[in-house]
Amino acid sequence: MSRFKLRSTKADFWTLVTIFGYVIVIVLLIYPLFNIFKASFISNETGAFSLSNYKEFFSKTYYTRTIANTLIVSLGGTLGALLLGVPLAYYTSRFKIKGKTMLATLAVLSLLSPPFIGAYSWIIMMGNNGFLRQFFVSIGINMPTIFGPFGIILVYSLQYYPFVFLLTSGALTAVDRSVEEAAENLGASGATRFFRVTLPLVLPSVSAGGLMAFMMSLANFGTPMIIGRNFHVLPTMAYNLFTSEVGENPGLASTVSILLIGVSTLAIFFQRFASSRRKYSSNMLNKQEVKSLHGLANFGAHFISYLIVSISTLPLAVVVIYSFRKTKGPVFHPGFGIQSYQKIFHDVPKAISNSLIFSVTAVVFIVIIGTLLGFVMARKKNLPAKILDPLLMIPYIIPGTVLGIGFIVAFNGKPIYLAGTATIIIMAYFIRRLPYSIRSSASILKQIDPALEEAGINLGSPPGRTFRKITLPLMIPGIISGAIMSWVTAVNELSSSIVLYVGKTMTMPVRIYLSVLDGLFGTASALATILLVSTGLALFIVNKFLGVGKETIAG
Amino acid sequence: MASIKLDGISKNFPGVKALIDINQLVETGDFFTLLGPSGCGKTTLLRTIAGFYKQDAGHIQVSGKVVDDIPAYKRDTGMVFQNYAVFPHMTVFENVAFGLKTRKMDSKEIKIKVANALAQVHLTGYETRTPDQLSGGQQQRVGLARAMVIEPQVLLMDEPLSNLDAKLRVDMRDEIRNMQKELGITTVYVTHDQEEALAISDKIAVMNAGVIQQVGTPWEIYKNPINTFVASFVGDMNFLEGDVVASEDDAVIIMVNGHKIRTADSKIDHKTIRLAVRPEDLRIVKEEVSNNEISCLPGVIEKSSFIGSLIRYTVDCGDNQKLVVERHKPQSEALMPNGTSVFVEIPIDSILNFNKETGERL
Repeated sequence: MSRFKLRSTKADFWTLVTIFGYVIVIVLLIYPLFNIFKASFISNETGAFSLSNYKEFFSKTYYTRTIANTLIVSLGGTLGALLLGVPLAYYTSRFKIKGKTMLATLAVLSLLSPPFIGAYSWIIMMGNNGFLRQFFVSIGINMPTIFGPFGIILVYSLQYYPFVFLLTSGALTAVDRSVEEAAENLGASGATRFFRVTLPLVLPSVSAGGLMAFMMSLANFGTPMIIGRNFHVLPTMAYNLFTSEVGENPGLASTVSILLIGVSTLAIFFQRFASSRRKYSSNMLNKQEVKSLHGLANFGAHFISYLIVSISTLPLAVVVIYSFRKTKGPVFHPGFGIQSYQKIFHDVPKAISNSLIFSVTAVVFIVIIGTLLGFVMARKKNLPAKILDPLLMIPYIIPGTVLGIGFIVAFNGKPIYLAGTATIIIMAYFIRRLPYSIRSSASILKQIDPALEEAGINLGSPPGRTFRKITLPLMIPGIISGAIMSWVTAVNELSSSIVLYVGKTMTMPVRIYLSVLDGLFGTASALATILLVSTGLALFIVNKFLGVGKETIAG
Repeated sequence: MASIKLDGISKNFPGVKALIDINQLVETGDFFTLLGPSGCGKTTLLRTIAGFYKQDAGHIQVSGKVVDDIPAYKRDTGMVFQNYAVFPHMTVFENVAFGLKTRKMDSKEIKIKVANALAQVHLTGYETRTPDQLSGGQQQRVGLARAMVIEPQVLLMDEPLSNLDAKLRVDMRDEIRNMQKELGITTVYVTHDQEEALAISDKIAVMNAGVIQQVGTPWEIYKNPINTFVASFVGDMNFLEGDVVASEDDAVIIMVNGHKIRTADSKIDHKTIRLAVRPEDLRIVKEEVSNNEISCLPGVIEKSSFIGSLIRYTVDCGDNQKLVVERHKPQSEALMPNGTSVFVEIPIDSILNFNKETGERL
């Protein structure tokens, strides 16, 4: 009897955590998704159940073209990210490149800055009156503008290549040196060795990086909205249909959302299928040697590495510089000044404080719940935990715009009224970042030998105390870096807040986006600079004091 | 088949002289072992021969041809790696065929050669397996087959057995030896395991601190070490220090702890010398018997360990001088409790004399 009791109290806490995990999944994911799904079958005219939305979507080229458009820019962006990320990873992980750490940090910074800031910056450079474009015109080259699909592809490539770069670098460093030496010893040199041995070994990581780039491109809302002009993709189409003042059509918006989820789900399965071969790991790794290059090869490697990182960092630099330009109303004047900053602190202090409060609140919940659920995923082998694991990964495939629409549809009527509140935005931040937090704390836990916990228990410490005294302290650095990363993504979040915000819950990214649309480039630049600097600062803290972070970003 | 000539090879790494003026000829068909503690330069030398490192000074000749400027992938050496280094994304067949394919060999011929090589390492039937379905020993056989199938001029092995368990290590050691003799392929083998080196080699080069200390057959290295490093690294060795007190005919008398020990006179002009004697050459007796052939040192049994084929005693002879004595084929009466006072017999012809300061053999 007493034995049974002991067992049941031991299991209690983690059972509660598991149940709570299911509550989160049901309330914040399944319920809104079900509502979108349901809404996609409700006719806008009659309000009755019908297939009319799907019929309408597939009968008009105007709509069907968005699917093709979405695939074109997403695949284009992915290809660009691969072409930039793989060479950069190869050069910096295999050869001595001066300033390597700085390059990696800048790459990560450009990854974490919101893409719509990059897009807006490219307008400054390559818009109709962009200074770069004007420069080319003045020397007789008529460059196309940034607007349209090619501009979107350019922004995606430069924004998302760091995913490929980070994952591929990690994999290249983990390739056993002896394996490559064996190939060389058997007569395979240079390119043969790279394509027959090295590349196949890192392919799972390259494709994982490519998938990240694809998923992010697919879900991106701000970039096509700002520089797409009349080029529509699924997220912008869903947003327009949902919010447009003329001809609001939530049913059709839901249909578009469902199709978007369908595409991202297919992408995930395709990548899983393509890289279904096992991952190669060696427990007797001979570490890679970082070689020095000489002469032309050395120059070439440095040139390419610096070129890639410079171009991707350029938009950020432009934004920072423009935030200090003199303005009068919406117009820039020659010279420098701080009017833009005075203006934002005067006009929109609320957006700044909102962003801060919402993101910090979300992160507190993300850290606590993510760590506990991470423990369940890593250490509990029971069936409920196994089923919960893939369910908690659903946010990976839901673009922010779709989640925003889902939340509005689900929480704007009985039984829950949340539209227009801060809570609904915090909930969106929370659920979007939660899977990353769970994954990272689970992977930290997998690196902590269970024998340590067993030793604690063997020495007389009960499981709960052992977790607090032994496991948790070992997890702390990982948890803190994960928390900072979560904060960075939350504070930069646009695509769901744009759907969920009302005047009093305006955040910085939303304000920047609206300023760009209104042509208030000074305000946009100053706000964007504040975001960039805080993002950079957060990254610096992670790198400097915790020495982790890259893994957390790449999930 | 080929000989390897190392001509004044030096190699520095930042802060370390890894190889210092190595001169050595490895003759055609020899099984040549580089033996030494970790960090002695043995692996550096092997990798320099393979072309993975470029020496800072000196030349390497294979079959009389200088190969200094030939890159690793054209050197035609077959290398077997410590951690196997089988290609994890290829099957056993693809691994072994890799070198042949890079040599653009006809696919029919490749099939035959791979089949032969796999038969030689007893892996016939494993062609379609992937490395993660193989044990460590099997992976190393793949590594071996892969290196041999290209019929290289020389075979290079970098501690190929050190990751295998003890029993398998001994089996594979014999197999490698047999295969090498059968093919007559010149082999350079790196190990830190002196027993392995003695068992497998035609010649051993004992290395320390980037310098080859001694080269010889296993017998020469064991029986005739030229300095205290070789004497202590290869096999077990007892050392005793004492002062030279008198000279008699062809022997000298050394005082160790107030007791006389006779050793062969090898023109000793030092006051203090170091004597070395192997545990298996010593004998424990109850009564002191000293004559021209045998000296006796009194002591107390400090500990003993029985390991089946022999008993190993440690005898404390006072003044921090201890002798390890092995008694082979022990009978029950040989068991002596700790604390027993005994004498250790030291035959004159088993003693090696070394210079106490330089460690050189006298």
